[in-house]
Amino acid sequence: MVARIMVTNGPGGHPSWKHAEVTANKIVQVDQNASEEKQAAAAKLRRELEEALTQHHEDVKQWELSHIEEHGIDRCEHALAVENEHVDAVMETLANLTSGTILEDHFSKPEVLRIIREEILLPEFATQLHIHRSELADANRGHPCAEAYHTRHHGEKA
Amino acid sequence: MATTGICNSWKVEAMFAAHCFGAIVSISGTTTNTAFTITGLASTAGIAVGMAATGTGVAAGAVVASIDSATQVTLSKASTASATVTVTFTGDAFKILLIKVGPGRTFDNTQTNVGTPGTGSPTTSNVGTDEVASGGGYTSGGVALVNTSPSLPGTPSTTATVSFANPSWTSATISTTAAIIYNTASRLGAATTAAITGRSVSVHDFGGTQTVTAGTLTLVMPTNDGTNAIIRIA
Repeated sequence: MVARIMVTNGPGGHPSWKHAEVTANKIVQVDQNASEEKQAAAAKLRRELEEALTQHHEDVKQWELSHIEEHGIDRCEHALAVENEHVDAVMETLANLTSGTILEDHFSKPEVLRIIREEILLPEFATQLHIHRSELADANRGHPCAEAYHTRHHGEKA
Repeated sequence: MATTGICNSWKVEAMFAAHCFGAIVSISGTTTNTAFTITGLASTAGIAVGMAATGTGVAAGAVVASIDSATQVTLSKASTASATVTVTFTGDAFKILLIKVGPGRTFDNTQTNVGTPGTGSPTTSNVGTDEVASGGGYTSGGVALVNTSPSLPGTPSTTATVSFANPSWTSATISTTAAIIYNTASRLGAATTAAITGRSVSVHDFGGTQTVTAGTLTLVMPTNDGTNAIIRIA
């Protein structure tokens, strides 16, 4: 039940590489008793995945920012819905990175893929959407959409 | 300072069904003026007794009194209109608050209640003035959590879990050392007062002071699986 902290000073939310590090570490976990070969393969995959995920998280960020630019403060009224294509792209990257490796079997299991998709990628991408909308609401305090957003997601802002 | 752990009192209260982690269920149903039943539901999956019900024509403050069938529930209050509407059933509202730097006491699994955050002496039943002060993007009481419904992830499934979306504080200038997850619902009776609210669920130490300046602080919840989830019952 260890929760991790991400802190970024200044506006704009967290940089994509920070999200990528979190996501990669959640996806690639290896038992301490695993063989050295598996430990090494996991470490290599984590590095490669983190690098690839930086672009995926950046894509999500730019996608959300483009919608904020299009809709303005009304974006706060939209559902915090992650696009399937963003998740699918990561799943494809993961399949490519693990193909032919000692980790391929593990990352082919339906239950493992379900957890990666539903319990890791969806919430981590949704976190990005939320942060950018929260900043949007912060910048538009007093607007009904901003106040409603803060009430729903933050409680009243001080 | 704090020591990470599930609160002892929560373990007991969970067995009293005093905490409902059920996620939101929004579903079409038919209300009938002055009747207590909601009929015509496509399913009652994910709905539990005690969940709040809201929707056009649903009386304010109504909660689920019973699950009658796969298509019908009975509420605690009679509906005020007859119509087929979207009815939303919600579990308890959980929040997470932050503990300041240099708190007066060490928070741990003996914490029973957050009491009146920001006010009063810190005790096991009141976070009091050990909470981060309001201002700089932080509001006393913390932020609302969005929970996932309890499940048995993994194959085979032997560990029940529940988790929350990652809470974030944006445009924030905050220093903090720990957090407490708590339940804002009023499900527990008491000997001398009305129903108790603010029951503590868990305490989370951050391993030191975490400071953000005019930026974003995010608490990343562990993966909701049988090994890592923030709340697990094996």
